Amino acid sequence: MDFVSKRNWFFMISFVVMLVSIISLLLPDGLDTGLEFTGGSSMTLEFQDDVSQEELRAQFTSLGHQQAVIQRLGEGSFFIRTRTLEESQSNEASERERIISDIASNLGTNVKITDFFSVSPSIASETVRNAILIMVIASVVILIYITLAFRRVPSPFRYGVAAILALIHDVVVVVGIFSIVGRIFNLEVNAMFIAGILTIIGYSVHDTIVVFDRIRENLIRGIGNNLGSTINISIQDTIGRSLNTSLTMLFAILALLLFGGQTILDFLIVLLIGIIVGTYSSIWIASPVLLVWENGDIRKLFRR
Amino acid sequence: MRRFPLRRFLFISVIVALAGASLSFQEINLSLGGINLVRGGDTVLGLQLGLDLEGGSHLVYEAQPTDGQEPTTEQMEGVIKTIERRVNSFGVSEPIIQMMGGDRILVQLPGVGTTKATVTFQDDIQPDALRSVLISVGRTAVIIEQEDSRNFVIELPSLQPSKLDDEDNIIKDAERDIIEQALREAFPAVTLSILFSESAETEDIQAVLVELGRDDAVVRKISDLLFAVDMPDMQPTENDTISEALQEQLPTLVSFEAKRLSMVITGGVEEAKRLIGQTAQLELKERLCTNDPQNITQNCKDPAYHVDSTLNLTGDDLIRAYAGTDPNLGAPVVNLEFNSEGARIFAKHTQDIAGTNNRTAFFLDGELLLAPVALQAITGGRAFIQGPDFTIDRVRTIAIQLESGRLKVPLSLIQEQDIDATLGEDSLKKSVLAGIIGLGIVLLFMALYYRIPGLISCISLIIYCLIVLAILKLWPITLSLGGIAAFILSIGMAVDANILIFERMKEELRSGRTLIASIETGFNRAWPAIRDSNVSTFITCAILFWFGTRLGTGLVTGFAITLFIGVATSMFSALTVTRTLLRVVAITPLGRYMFLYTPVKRIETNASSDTVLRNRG
Repeated sequence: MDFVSKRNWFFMISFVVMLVSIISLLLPDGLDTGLEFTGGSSMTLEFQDDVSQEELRAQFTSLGHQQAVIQRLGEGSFFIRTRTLEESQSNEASERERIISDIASNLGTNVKITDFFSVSPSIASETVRNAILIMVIASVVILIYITLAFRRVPSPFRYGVAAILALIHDVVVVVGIFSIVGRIFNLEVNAMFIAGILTIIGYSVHDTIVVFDRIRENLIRGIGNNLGSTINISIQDTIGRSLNTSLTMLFAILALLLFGGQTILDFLIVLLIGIIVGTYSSIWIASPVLLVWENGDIRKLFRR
Repeated sequence: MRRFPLRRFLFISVIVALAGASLSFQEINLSLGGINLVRGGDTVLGLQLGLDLEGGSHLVYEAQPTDGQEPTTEQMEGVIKTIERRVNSFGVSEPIIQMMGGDRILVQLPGVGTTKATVTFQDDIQPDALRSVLISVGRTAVIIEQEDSRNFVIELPSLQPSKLDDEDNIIKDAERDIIEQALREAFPAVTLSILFSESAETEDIQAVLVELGRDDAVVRKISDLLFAVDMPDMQPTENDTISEALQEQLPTLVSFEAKRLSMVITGGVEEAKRLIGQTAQLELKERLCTNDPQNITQNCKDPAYHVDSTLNLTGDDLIRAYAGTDPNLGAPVVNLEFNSEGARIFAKHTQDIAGTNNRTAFFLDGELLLAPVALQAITGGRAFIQGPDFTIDRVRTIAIQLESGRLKVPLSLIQEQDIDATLGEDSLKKSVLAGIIGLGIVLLFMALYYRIPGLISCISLIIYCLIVLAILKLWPITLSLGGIAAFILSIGMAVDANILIFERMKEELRSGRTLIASIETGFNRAWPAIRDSNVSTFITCAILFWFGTRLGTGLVTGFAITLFIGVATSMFSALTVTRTLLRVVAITPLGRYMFLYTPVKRIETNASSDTVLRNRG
């Protein structure tokens, strides 16, 4: 099978997917940012007797939370997201206590908070900065490592850059698809999402390196007539492993998705998309980029 | 190379045995060569569970700068000590209080959730009667758990504290007091506990009570000296009359105690937060000792032998407290510096107590920190405290505690996560199930696709899981949802190492090498790819860990640590366990059937495609 000669087709596909991803991200509500990024409070309320969403909304409105997001999770169970609730001053009741006692007495049923999460807006902006910073640092460190690890082949720096390009491709596509899927299923970007993206960074590089390692080995052994055929042979050599590993990873993730809890759902969806995209990019993006660079295709494109 | 790899095999066996043993015992309590290893507990495999799996509260506080000054390390230590003391008084088991970055403090309170009141009555109570009392104080829909006919656990979510007006006058009592009062009024039963110095008779006690008109009292003999009396509807005013009558008629009476219903309130993150958020209060009091200094049984420490009186001297009057050494003796001391008002009060106070057995009692949050005597009057506002048992460490701790009561570091809560125990339990169950199913599918796939090597990788993956879980338990690493996700992901990565090796092995087999040679070459060829790909994962883990500690969520740090352990262990399991087992199998009769190691069909297709390129002789 020939993996590299059709490279421009795959570049085109990836380009279109990335474009769609970026457009989806730039359109309003591109990503539904979670509390970690915006600040605010969220809670899951379990009522002893079922109440209607309208009743609950009326309660929150009367308590000064017109903006509250209220989702029904099941019978007598609601997810609520508000601005950051005020903490208690001296010995006064906190806003959360007031809300709960008012709701319980007004609706005449017992209510319990099973899950409460609150982030002050002051650290929320810091989270965004950290998240971006960390991606940049991770990319730079990995670039340095790959350049060092491939020092025995000509122009090792290219391998690092190609791996990072594949990585950027993966992150953009994963975030983009997440944004599109998120529009349908109401997915939220939270700390676990960031963990998922970072795992994808690790996985994407992991996958790319396995292919590159084979190119490195085959180049040193002088296999293939030119870089193009060496790359092609290397991909052929590793595709079995790439597919099998991805499949086993997908099995594990599907099991978690089907049987695991709600809490890490966002993380798993990121992983699911990321492993598929990462496997694709290690074969059809990372390695062909090496060839394009070697041939100077981009320069030719501009010369025309 | 046809030898049985005995040493490696033994090495692996020992590790597996150790890992298995550490997991099979719920609780581990070892003491070897002065190192104590206490691990495990009442959880799945004795693993330490995170709050998201166990239930509890996760609070992140940030110290606010005072007068534009960032808090110093010593001040932060003082804040942590204050929080520790309060959390301990709150009765939380195994709290975690840690510094995070320069100015943040992480407080984890396992099990803290809804406020619960454990009420013990002195006679049998109908749950409905209890419910009606709670309704009368505004708790219309309460959950009451009945332990037995006298013990009840009442869930009281969001218990209201007392309401104060602008001048700090109480306009509404704390709800816990209101409830307790209502319960006492509704269930006035009391059990008297009466102790005699010589053996007494049930009838004598009964007679005294009948005389007082209480023929409904039931006297129970606990021992010859100790009796219990159940008194239905006993009014607080009756207490003294009964006590006096008993004392008069039964002179051998030693003690008389009336036990009413007891109410213990536990949990409640809102209450915990109120407690943590308060700044520490330091107060100095004059302690007059009424003991006879010659009599060793009469210690001034005993509340019976001292009287504390206020000096109007608080942390506000202190300029600073710091650890130092005695200029003459070189012994560690705590130095104190008072402001002018403080110096004046302190001078007068030390003048009064100098040379006597009376003391200066230092109270932090109402708890006695230390109570030294004064050797002479201290007039300059500078004092130092010395003690025979003072070490450099001890004086530092005292200085930090005094400072925490002097300089108030305001804390603001920047992040909070509370998870109900039942929700955590549910997550745990689901994750364990998902993990088992995920692992099962992976094992099945490996065994079917790679045959004998696949089966061997199944064994090595199970060993891998044992080792990772054992490391998590022994380190110990708190297993959170993030950790479980990382663990399952790392299974995928461990599988990858095996797949890389087997694919290489198959290639070598196809090129006509012997099985044992193929195994060796396969491993050597796969190694650079395994190394480089795993190093990139390690890099990600390290950066994630750093990110997680900045963010303050256990989710991300737990993920990073577990993934790191998992990937490191996966290299061991692939390179040592799988390899050794393959070598062992290769020298058994199973090693003769090549089709068990590589899909036969594939040989033909691949051999025709690139034999020319690959044959190196």
